[in-house]
Amino acid sequence: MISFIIPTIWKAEEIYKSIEQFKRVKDKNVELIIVDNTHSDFYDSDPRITVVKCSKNIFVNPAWNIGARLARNKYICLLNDDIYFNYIPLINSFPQFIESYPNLGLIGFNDQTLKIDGELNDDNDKLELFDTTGMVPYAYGCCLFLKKEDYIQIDESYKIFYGDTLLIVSIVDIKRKYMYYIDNIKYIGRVSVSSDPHSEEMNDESPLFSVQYHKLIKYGSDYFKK
Amino acid sequence: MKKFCILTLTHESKNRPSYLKETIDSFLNNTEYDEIIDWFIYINKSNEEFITTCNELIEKYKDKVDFKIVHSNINNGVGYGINRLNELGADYTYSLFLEGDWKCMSPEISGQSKNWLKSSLKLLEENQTVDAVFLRRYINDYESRSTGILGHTNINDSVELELDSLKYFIAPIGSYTNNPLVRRNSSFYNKKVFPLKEFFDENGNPTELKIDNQMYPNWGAAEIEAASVLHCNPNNESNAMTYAFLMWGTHCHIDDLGNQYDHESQSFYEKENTKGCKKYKNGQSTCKFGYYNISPHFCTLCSVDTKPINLVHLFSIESEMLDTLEINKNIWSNDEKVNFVKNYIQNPELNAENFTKYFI
Repeated sequence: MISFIIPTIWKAEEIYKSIEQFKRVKDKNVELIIVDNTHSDFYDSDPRITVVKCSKNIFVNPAWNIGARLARNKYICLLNDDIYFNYIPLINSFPQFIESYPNLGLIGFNDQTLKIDGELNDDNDKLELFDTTGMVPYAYGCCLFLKKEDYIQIDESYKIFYGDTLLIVSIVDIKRKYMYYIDNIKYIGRVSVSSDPHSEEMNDESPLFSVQYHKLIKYGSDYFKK
Repeated sequence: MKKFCILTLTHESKNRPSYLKETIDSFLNNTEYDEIIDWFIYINKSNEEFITTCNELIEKYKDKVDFKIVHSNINNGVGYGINRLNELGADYTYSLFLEGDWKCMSPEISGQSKNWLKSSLKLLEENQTVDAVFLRRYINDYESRSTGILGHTNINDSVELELDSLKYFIAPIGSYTNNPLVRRNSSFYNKKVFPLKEFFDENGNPTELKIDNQMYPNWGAAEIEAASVLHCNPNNESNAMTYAFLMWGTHCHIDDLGNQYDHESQSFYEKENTKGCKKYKNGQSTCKFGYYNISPHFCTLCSVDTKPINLVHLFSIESEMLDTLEINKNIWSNDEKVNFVKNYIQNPELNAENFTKYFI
């Protein structure tokens, strides 16, 4: 059904809770692909978990590219390593999302349900989607569901930023599909980025950042005019 | 498109982590390449030993190789694994497909210089009709005959080529192999060889598996199905591929080294009766075909006039000779059998009398 893809350098402790939550799911038709950008010693024998060990930190967007190529399910979920939530109601609701919402392109989270800490509960048996109607909630890209066939391989010069934006551009603007957010799921975390916050590529003043930004403007100019 | 990557498949069987290490160590010790190598590895059901081994390899070769190693916890079979690797390598023009149980032999043993990879890539760039470079080194004639793909080539249309002091012969081939190949990736899709077929039963369980000595029903079926797509027919070669065969290869199958190879000295054991005519120099091999051990009878069939690329012809007359001997086993005397063998080939490389005693 769904292949969850998490790039990580294991700095965010939430990823361990996310893996725990994933393992509570009994469904065999889900998988978790962890792109381990530090080639750590992490190992888990759950048959639904695949780990990709990289020589060096390839950062988030290239990690998504690898995860999307390996995913064996029709749907993928690009997931930050610094949030966790209860996978069960989400997976239970997923077939309803797929059938009930027309021309579904992307599903993300809503920042209103983000919590810094606290406990998860199983109350939300039925999740609801709302269309974004021109407003993309903050933190929308920390958890993105889409069809594997809609995924575009992101140019590898985009390491950390704008991968989600490029997906939005390609799916919403080019394929003319709709974006939704899930309104009533509680998720816990900090919503930063999955990769190294001290890297040169995270610096707004670095030449690479500038190049990326201008390329994006050019690539997605139609999107930004809206 | 990026130029080149390596794609390696391995699986959960016994000794596979150490085989993978030998595959990578031997490759990097015996291969020159000027850039950091992008190397994708797919492990069909990993374990903690694989994790440890792979992490050690990542650290050891961090200045030479950019690894991306997929530790799957399910063994979904050969076809599935190769398809995933091919998808990971989709951005590359060429790939070396190298399963995790192949040893790259040193120049002293193989007779090939360490520039074999650069030469292979150059050959593919300069010869757009060549689809792949075949790298397997057969240890002996038995291995070559029983698992070889040379029987599917059209030798009549072959040409010899020398590049960077390495010798190749280029020939159409009507088969597919998972043996080590430097591939022009697009060719395998254009000729409908890829994607490979994946095998699962009605419950979704994989069936193209071999775990230690346990073989599942469809083991090897993806390779066979892919081979059936290609045909090498003199009248219709539209579905053939063209391989350049590096004479006589760089990579030996680790499982087949067995008791023929001394891992301490990194060389093959030598026995007088299996060394052949000793007239040629192919690394440690002194055989025209690069074999390290040769069935004694095989040399009785090898004529001075037999060109190396006519190996397939040798296999066919070998079969004919052995059949004739078998049919007449209880009819002919030993002298008659010896005379038959001696008269079978003209201008032999080696006096047949030295060898007839081993099989008559």
